[in-house]
Amino acid sequence: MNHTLEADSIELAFDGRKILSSIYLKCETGKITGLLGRNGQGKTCLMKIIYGSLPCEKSVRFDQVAHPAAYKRPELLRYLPQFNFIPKQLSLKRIFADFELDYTAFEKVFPGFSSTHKTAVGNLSGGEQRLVALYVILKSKSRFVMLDEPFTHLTPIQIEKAKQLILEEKNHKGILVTDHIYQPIVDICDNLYVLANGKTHLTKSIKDIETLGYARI
Amino acid sequence: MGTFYKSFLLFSFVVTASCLSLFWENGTSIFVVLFWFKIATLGLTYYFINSYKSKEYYYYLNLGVSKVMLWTTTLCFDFALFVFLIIQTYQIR
Repeated sequence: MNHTLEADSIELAFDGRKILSSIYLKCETGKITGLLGRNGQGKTCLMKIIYGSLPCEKSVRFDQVAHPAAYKRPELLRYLPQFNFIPKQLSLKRIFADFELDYTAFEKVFPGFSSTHKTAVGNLSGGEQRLVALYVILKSKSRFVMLDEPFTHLTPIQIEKAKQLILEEKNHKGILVTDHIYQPIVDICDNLYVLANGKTHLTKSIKDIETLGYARI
Repeated sequence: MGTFYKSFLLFSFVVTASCLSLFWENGTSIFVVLFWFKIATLGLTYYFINSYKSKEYYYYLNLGVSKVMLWTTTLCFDFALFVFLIIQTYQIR
């Protein structure tokens, strides 16, 4: 069954400076939605607003039903923040149990983790921690996931594997993803928004990224 | 919840043990002081955990446990344990 996530009527300002206004963003099952934007344009704020952890004026709807605090419904939406958020003392076994995931399936994709079942996540490298966080958020049961800078700290090979995982998972859910390593985003996304001057712009071609001042192609 | 509670369990244990020791020595005359001391340390716990471990809230949020639920449950449990142990100490003493 296809599901939709829509966000609009978002107004966010800090100290009188408007960060977000005239936002419209749509995410659907079976599609990867990319979100690009320069630093300080409000990409992370927008994700936190959709998640409900940053309160402001907004309308966030799942299948036309408003859910202003989506964080209370992990079966609807899960969120990978841009920083390490997993308590460092937790073992991988415990993390996978918490998210009701099979560790052996993870080992098959990432054989380097075959002997780290009982290792505390804090003892892994930055890239390994990011991979674990990305995997558990992406693979756990939910209609939508938001990934904030999922490729940070990953090696090029790991980025390729992460792209494959995201592509596989889009068959089951809607995915909203943002990262400054924008080429993988451009490669995998079905819809691409650029956030500029507080507004979302749905791009029609890759050249729009340059026109909107995000990158030189 | 247990994982979150563990992040300040040691500090809480030391505070509660100190309170019980003082209560054993001084009896009910010191109860009001200990009561407010325990409340104050719970406030301090909230302040420091909120400052230094706020990123970890997203772990619990992704599991459907809100920040309010985390704090309400753990602080109530910790305080109830404190009261229970004070009563036990009073009865044994």
